[in-house]
Amino acid sequence: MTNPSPTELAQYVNHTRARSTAARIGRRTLLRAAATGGLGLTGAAALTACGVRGHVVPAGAQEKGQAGKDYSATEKKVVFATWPSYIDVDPKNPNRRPTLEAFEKQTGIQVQYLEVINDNNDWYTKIDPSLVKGIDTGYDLMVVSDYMVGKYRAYDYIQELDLTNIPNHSLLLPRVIKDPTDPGRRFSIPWAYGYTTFAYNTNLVKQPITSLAEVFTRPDLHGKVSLFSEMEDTVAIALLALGHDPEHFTDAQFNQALEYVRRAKDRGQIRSFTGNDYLSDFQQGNTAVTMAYSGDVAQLGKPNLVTLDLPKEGMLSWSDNCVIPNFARHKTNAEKLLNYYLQPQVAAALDDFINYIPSVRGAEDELRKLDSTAAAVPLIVPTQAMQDKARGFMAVSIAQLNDYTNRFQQVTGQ
Amino acid sequence: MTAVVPTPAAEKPVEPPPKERRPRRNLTPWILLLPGLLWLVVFFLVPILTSVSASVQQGDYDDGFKLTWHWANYVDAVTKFGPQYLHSGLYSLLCTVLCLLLGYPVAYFIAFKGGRWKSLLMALVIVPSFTSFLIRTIAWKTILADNSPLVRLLGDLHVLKLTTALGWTVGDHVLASPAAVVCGMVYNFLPFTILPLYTSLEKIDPRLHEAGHDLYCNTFTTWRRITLPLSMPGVIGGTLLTFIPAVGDYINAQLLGNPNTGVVGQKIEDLFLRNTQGYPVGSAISVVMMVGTLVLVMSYIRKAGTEDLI
Repeated sequence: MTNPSPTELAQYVNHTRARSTAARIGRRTLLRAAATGGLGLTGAAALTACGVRGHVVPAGAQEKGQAGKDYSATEKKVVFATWPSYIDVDPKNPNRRPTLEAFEKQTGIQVQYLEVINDNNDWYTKIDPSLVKGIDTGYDLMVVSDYMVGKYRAYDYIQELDLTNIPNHSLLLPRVIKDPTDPGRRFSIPWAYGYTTFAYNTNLVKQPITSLAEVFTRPDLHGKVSLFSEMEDTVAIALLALGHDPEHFTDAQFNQALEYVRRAKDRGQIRSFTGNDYLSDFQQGNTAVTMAYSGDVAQLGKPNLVTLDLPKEGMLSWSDNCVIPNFARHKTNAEKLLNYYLQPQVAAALDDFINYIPSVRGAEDELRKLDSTAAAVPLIVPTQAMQDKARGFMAVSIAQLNDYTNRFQQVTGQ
Repeated sequence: MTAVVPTPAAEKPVEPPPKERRPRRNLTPWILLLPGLLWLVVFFLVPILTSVSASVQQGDYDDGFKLTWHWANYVDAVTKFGPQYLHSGLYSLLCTVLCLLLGYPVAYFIAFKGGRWKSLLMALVIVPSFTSFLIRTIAWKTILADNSPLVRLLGDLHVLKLTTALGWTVGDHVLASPAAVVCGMVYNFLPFTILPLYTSLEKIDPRLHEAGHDLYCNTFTTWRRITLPLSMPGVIGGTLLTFIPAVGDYINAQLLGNPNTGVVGQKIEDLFLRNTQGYPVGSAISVVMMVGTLVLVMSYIRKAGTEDLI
């Protein structure tokens, strides 16, 4: 493995907002050229014409996103892009989603619920071409992770929420409102709040795990550990394992954490870097220890699969947030949907099913009424000690984020 | 492309008479060629030019890419991904060799001993490919799972100790190791080796074997001196059909490998899909791979002495 230095990698980061002025070459022009001229000429012409255009959104309007025409009143629908298994479903019929159906009935707004996001960066590169051109992406609402909210905002890709449509915004808990990437929550509403920690299979791991560092170093776990391919998760856990704070870390500490992960990988300690699909290998017993999102493992209901509630060094707290991309056709409808999910009873019903931590006032009480066993799981209603030990991920600039993500992918990207 | 041969100026005045009739007659083949040429231009030439162009650009997704003739992308493409090139080369080479070793006897058996079952046996070779490539690869996850009967048997026989010492498996498991990647590749590409082998073996006159025996050759010598040379086109074709897709394959490495079995394809996918600045270097790697494979294949064909294949 070669070790690229930060300066080498910095060349990938282009800070200038340069716009390519090269006109695209039409297929016909190319054919005509091919027919009349030789290939050499055409080749050169085609090569120069193949640039990809940059931003069209005016650089001045950085603050509030770009509003399109809102068709909410005439088109009673909202297109919602989200991750798989991120909503409550009827246990008897997996095609029915009780909370969503109740919303549709209440408001008459049809929700096109699309489970199309599997990876933050994948998703970003998928919708970026539309956002760059300044056209509607076709989605009114999408769920992205906290550190990506900063990136979307910096590029002015998401719209400010109209809080008159979201009166329940005032119910958000103070720790949720105080968000490093979106202070005051003017652009994003959390869909799920959770922790990243480890879970292990007691059939395969005889000696209990109590700290994060053990996972990276214990010889009996060699080749049995699975980490997440999201930079935020794995780097934050490595920072914690090294005794650093993911809420405030320096470049040097980041390098140290990355090196820590790289060494574990090179030694063969790490079996895989997984995305959303980490549970299948874990359930089959192919991975003995896996990084896990809060309630996921508890949800499986298997006594031999144990989540580390409170690792010695602490854990990462994160949120996945609903944002409205530029030029969304049904912004008001989307805001009505957000307002609906901020009601304590609805939030409790959702979190009871997806096993994440409620982020609105009153939802915990509703959850206790609804499902006392779920409310007793510390990964759904965390204890004070857990809340104290949980750390967020520092807000970083775009250049930093791109640089960190690139370098992280150098390590994990197989 | 239009093959306009520059004619010496001196000859010009002599030519007029034939020039008037010729173009009309010569146009027909070009018109007939047009669909094919169009296809080549749109689906071959344009993509190649686009990717060569992208490989010397600079920029990122949000600010746009600009053609700056940034050849340093190639330096990155060649120097930064050493392990991936090594893995791609090693796994595909091993896969090709194993496919040949496994495929040759199968093709030989079907061609000479198959009798009236020939078509049925060939169908059996091809039928698994009717299932999706992905599903078949994921099936290997079950076959090689840590507590599968096969892996436990290998563990009990201490085979895994040996393979782990050689670095082909990890600890006591096979899944998520180089061995699993090669297994998946061999399984997926085997039909590509068998088919051309079978066609060339099938053409061999069985009476040549009898003649060999009449001349006091034993079966092995007959094979070595008669069958093998006659089946060489099949061997070359089969190995090429296996090697070329295998060297670019990354699904097997993705699904059956671990973080230390990365191949070039995975790197390209990462750079294209998950990295906002990755287009140029990703394209540069693609071009390097294309040229590299071409050079390897050409020299192989040259060496094997079957230029008529291409």
